[in-house]
Amino acid sequence: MVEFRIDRRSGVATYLQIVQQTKQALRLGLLEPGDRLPTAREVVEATAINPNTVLKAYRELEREGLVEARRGLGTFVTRTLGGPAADTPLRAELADWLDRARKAGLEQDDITALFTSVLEERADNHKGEGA
Amino acid sequence: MTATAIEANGLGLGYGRRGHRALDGCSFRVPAGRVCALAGPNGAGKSSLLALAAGLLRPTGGTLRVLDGIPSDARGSTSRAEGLRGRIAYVAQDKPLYPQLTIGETLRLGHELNRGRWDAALAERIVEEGGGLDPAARIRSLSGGQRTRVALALALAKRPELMLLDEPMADLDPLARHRLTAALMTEAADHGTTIVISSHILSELEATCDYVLLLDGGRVRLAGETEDLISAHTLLTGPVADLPDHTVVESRTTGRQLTALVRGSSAVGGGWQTAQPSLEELLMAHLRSPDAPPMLTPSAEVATA
Amino acid sequence: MSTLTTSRLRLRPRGVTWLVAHQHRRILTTAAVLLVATAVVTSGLRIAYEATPYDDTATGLFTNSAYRGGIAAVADFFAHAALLLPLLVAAVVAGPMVARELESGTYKLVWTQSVDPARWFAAKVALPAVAVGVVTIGLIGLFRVLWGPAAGDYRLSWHERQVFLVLGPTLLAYGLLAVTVGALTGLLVRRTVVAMSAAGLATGTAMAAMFALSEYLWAPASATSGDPDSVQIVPGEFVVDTGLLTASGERLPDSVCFVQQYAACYTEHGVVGRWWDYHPDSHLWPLQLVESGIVLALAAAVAYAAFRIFRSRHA
Repeated sequence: MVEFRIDRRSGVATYLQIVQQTKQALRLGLLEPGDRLPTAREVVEATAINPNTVLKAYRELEREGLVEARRGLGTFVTRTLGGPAADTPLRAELADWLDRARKAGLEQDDITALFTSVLEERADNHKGEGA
Repeated sequence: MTATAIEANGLGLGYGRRGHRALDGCSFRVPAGRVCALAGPNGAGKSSLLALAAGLLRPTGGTLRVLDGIPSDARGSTSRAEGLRGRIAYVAQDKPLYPQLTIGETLRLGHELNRGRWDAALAERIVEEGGGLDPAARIRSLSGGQRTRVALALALAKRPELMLLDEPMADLDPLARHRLTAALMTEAADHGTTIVISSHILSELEATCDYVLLLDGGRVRLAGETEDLISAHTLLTGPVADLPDHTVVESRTTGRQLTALVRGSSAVGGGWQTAQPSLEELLMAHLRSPDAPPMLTPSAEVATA
Repeated sequence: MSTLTTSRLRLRPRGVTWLVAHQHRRILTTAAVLLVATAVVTSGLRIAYEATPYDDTATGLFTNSAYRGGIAAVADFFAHAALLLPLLVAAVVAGPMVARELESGTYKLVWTQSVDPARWFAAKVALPAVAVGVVTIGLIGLFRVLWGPAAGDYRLSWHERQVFLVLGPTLLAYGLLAVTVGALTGLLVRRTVVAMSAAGLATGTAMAAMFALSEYLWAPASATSGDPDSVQIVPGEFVVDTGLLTASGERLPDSVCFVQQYAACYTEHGVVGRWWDYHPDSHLWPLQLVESGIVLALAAAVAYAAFRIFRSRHA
């Protein structure tokens, strides 16, 4: 069972937070196909948010094909979120690059900063293409 | 259950010899099953509106329909709380309780007056939750937060279709506020109860309320689904320049920067940074600009016959 | 914890009736206790009096007259206390029963716990009305028990204002008037202490006004005598008015010949006798009923006003 943490001050819409946290749980393997998501009542009891928000989030997840609502039973996970397989060739390439970065003298923080900066730069470009 | 919880048409409430008006020509609709935030500054008429909806006062102008009847004409029944009054719960701002009664006697009072609708187990559960209150304690010995708990227990245990709460969380510490909000939201989840909460704490409203009613000076400024109202507005920031052709709710200039809240979500010309306002920003902007025209979403409109 | 709200209710008042009775149970029990105490004292005295029906001149034991004296004193106190009863009733209804709820806001709790406001107000009037009815009728009966032996006492003649009040339904009427005046005052003046004072004052004023009119409410009987200076010869001593009678039967007020040379004045005006307008004992009940009727009509009017105002403001 997954527990939602709602950050009221984050500026992110509540229902989106639920969607994102569900997806994250799927990625991390905390939720597997066949698991039941908490009912709206259970979420509301814990987080004190509007029940319609929960329903809206679940509808969004259903729209993306990740969950399925079964009348009278609950909302169930239908598939995993494809995370990369453990032995993808990308992993070996990344390990290679890391070794080279280390040899070049970069510290952990520098590597993280470099990686994040490139990721964001590319993300903007990707957004421009895909929009 | 009816589809409309509250419908007001030209609702007015005046008092005093100088004809001071607490409410002036309010027309709006609150559909059933919503959690509605009633917002506005002091003196805006929020308490008056709730008191009218609860049937404590008679309007001096216009009409007000609550569930499917007129609250001030509603007759309770002696033995069973079937009438309109039985279906509405109201908690006043000062949470009035009889100071000389104990908590147990107060709940007994609720049981006695709401025959046929009273959920004694729920009342006890709310009173007991999180460090139970002693049922033999007299009301006058309770703190503000404890009184609120008892008052809300009385409201929830009569299993209403509509709850009208006037600043219910004012006395509560954050933990108690969270617990009671959760109890209210659970009630809404289980039974689709319509809840109207008047509150000053705007930041918390966004997560709990899916409907909002903004009053100012006795008039309706905004009404409708929070989502729709927010997406109908855009927050613009940029260098000082003429604003694009949208209804401007509020604009502020600091130095060379202009911030404005406008109506409309269609694309705005270059040079402007756009963002969606938070509920708090939306309400505050409208309060700061009393001349901005009111806005009601379609579900909040009242068909004027 | 289930003992919090168990309902062991069988034949008990329900809903708003229960609420009002429960809320003011202290006042009700106090009234009941006072009534019972009065009954005990009254019957005790009367029984003691009946048990010693003689005055033994030989032994010097004048127990009978001693008891009569005691009873007269108690009855006198009783009657004077009864004058205050309507004022007290008005204050209690106006203050603790109505104004305090409006002032403290507890009415909001009741009206939103599925209680019809109009029913609530009606209960606030009806319950004290019933209690006042029971108590006043009880007091009237008890007073008569006490009055029997001592009626001849000068303090206890039926035309004494306070005695008249307790001898018949007038006490009941004023009690009910007090209830309605209290309810209206509490509704208008939503401050407890001010409402209590105002209600007491209003009731007292109404009583004083009625008292002034009281003796004129029934046509008096007339009597004459041939001597203009005669002291009252009318039975019962309840004189409404008196004056000088001329030979032609014309009635003149006493003030006409209130001079030193009154004999000459008499001759001058042809005064041959005196006339009296008075109420004999047989007028007690008519006077009681007319006064009670007027006061009850007044009470009804006040009650109507109170309900109209309530309806127009609230629900």
